[in-house]
Amino acid sequence: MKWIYFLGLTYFFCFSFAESQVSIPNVLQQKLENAIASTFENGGLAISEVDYSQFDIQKKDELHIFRISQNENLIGYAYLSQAKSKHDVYDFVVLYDKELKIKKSKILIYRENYGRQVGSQRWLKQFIGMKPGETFNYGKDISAVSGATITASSMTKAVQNSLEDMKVFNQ
Amino acid sequence: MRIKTLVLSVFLATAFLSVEAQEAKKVQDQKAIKDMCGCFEVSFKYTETFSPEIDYEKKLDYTAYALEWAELIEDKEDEISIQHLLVINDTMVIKHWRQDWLFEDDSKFVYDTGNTWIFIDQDKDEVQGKWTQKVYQVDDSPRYSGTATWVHYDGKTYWENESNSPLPRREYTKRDDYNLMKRGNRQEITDEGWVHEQDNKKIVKQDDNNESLLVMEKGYNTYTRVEDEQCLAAKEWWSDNKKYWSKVRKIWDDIYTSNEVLELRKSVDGKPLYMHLTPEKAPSKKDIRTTIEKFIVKA
Repeated sequence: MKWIYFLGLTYFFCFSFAESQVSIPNVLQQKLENAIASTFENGGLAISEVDYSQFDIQKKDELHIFRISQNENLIGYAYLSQAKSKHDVYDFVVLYDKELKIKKSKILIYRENYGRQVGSQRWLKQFIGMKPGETFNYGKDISAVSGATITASSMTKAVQNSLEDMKVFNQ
Repeated sequence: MRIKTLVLSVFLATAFLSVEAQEAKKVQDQKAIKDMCGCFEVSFKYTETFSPEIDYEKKLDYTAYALEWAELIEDKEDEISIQHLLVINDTMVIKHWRQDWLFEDDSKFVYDTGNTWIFIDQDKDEVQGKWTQKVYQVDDSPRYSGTATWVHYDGKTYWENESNSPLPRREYTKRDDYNLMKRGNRQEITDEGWVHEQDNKKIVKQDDNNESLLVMEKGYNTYTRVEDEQCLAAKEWWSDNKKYWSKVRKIWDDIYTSNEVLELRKSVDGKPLYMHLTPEKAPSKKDIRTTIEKFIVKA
């Protein structure tokens, strides 16, 4: 009974953002919570924002990194940021396990009519299992998406950048 | 004088032909509905299609197969009722859904989230020449209803309508991320049997009646006619149980006709209504009524 499991998860879900410089819009925060809850199917999750200024990560207003823990044990990370589509920007999250392998990536908010197919898990699942240090190229290692070249290559680059940034947590 | 007689004759002839055409159409409609009776191999297929939210993750497709007997249990000029029964492994029979078809019916029920149905009157003008399909659950409680015209055109025979309904049984206990299904039904009679095509919208309805689309879904259920002998177990089961279910329907009919709103509990003592409503657990009319009334929250 998956719904009972999920009920337990949401009941124990404790979403405690640390004070962040730039606040996250409610809609985006809700989508982030849903993405974390559906990816880490555990109850009693606690989420806290990481002050990454202490690490070698370029400061960006739109970038937020979260630690995800259960019973005070680290179980993963969420990397929330923005990237460019053809005429606008979109919000995405890359979810990592504690070994920094990608568990899932999701586009959370997309603001254009073209290129939406990049949000499909059938395409995004190509990033699952990737670790910091791995490199890949759009159109070669990552399959191209007809009618969404700009967004698909942008997302590929965004995931690559995310892996670069997350290297610091390996130390 | 001659002109007056001629005009009157033309008028009467036109009126007569019009009535004839309407009667012929109604006979075609009745035949189409009754063509859904018999023994069928059924395939149920559902797939989620479009979602307005980019982060929505489509659920896995649903497919199932069954052997089903559709018994004609009411056959009146303006009222046809078909009871569907599932046949499992040639011997086990499970009472399935029921569809009632009512010609120019002045009432229907509309699902409004929270296991609540609202019974409404329909204008005579709105239902002229149309059939209202009322679909009931396995325990004969309401599911959804809708009114539309049977169409016989270009060699096709079909009826289509959109109506609000509760979550389908395949998702009823598994999902809570939507609370209303706008069910697009298209029932088409084919050479092989019939096809139940659905264009469904999974809706999140808020307390302020604001509705937002979660995801759309395509349903494609085919009913392929096979020899009646394959459904012998269901025919015999219905013969043994039809009196009991006739009593159940009569009690529900009383409840439907005397209420404007009906809210039902999903379970009593941890069990849904269909598990309480059996000839063994509720044998008499009084037992049936008492059992059903335990489930009524508001009527």
